[in-house]
Amino acid sequence: MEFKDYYEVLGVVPEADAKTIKSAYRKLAREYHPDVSEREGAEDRFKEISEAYEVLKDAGKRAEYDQLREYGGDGGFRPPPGWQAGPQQSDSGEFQGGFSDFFESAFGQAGHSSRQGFSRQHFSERGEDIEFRLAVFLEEALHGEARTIQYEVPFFTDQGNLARQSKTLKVKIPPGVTDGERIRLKGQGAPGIGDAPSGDLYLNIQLAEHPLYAVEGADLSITVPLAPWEAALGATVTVPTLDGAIRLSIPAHSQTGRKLKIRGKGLGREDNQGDLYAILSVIMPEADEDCDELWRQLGERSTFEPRRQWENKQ
Amino acid sequence: MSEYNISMTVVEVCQCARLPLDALVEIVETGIVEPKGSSPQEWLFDSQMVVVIQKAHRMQRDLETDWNGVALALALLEELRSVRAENDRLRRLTFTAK
Repeated sequence: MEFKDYYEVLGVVPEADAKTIKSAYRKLAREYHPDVSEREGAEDRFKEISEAYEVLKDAGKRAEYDQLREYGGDGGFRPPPGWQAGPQQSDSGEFQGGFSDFFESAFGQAGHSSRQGFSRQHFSERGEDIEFRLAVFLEEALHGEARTIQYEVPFFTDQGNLARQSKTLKVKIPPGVTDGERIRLKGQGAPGIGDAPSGDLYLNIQLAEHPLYAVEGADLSITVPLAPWEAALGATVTVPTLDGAIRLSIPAHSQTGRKLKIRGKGLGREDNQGDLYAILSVIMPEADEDCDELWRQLGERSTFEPRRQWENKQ
Repeated sequence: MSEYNISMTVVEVCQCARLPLDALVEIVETGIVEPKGSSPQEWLFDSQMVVVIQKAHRMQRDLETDWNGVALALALLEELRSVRAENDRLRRLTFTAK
């Protein structure tokens, strides 16, 4: 088992006082908290940080840890002979996976040790609810497809020890789901203790980024590139939507940024049916001598002044 | 068997989010979520609110901050999210030629 240097994790010296440890933790927590940070690996880093703080903020645990550190701080770690993890209470470490093996062996099973010793006959409690982040492609969100997911549920063995068990479940994504939606699957969470019912499974839907469409709630938007003459004269263009291409009329004299609404072609359902917005973007063609000649002629004949609003301001 | 757009009562939210009642009352009083109904007995939370409540709870505990600080952080995060979405749309508009 790998020894965890909690001082290093928090970036403090082993002699650091409680105030320094607290402020080091708070600073790192703000930086890496998974609800705040967009950084890659933030959740794992935060787990390490909160595990370290869980031990170092408590004078008793810190003293135990310092003893262990002296004993086995180099390389591999084995708890010293006769080492007994005291009963500890913890309310952190709930993110998926919990604390490290090192923590579990040194300080007992975080958050659950208080339940040890209750036998199944004398104790019953509803199973834990499980949160599961489900990344979904827009196409799957629109049509609602079946997906097989795998997750871990904590449960208590007959001996009263906490263990984890892998569960596989086929779930149907409801058609029209939007980003951040939450779906409850009754009874698919952790098993209850004693006669109590199982907890529920909550799927938190996260839409994966799509190369063509940007998402805002149930609405989608797509950029429609136009040649300058299409924007000037109007055109009919083919626009891909999530369920097949459609023909869209571009009104003459359209500017870049103009939004055209294509009703009902977004996500959502029933009372929250989203639309697709086609956002026009005029693109200049690549250099071409014939074209340049035509542009020159247009420039000579046109009275268009694109910077009129600057007049009298210079 | 799956359900969505579920409404939850105060008791259900506290159980689901493993949150004491007084903390939930504070979350509502700070305006972090605005449930339907005028008194705690009548409050109904939709599923998006439950996600926000859980997030608020984790932040309050892990960042060791008060509910007002959590409310401010959540509002700024929401603004950041919408600015990022807007930025994404604009980026697609500008660089679509490539």
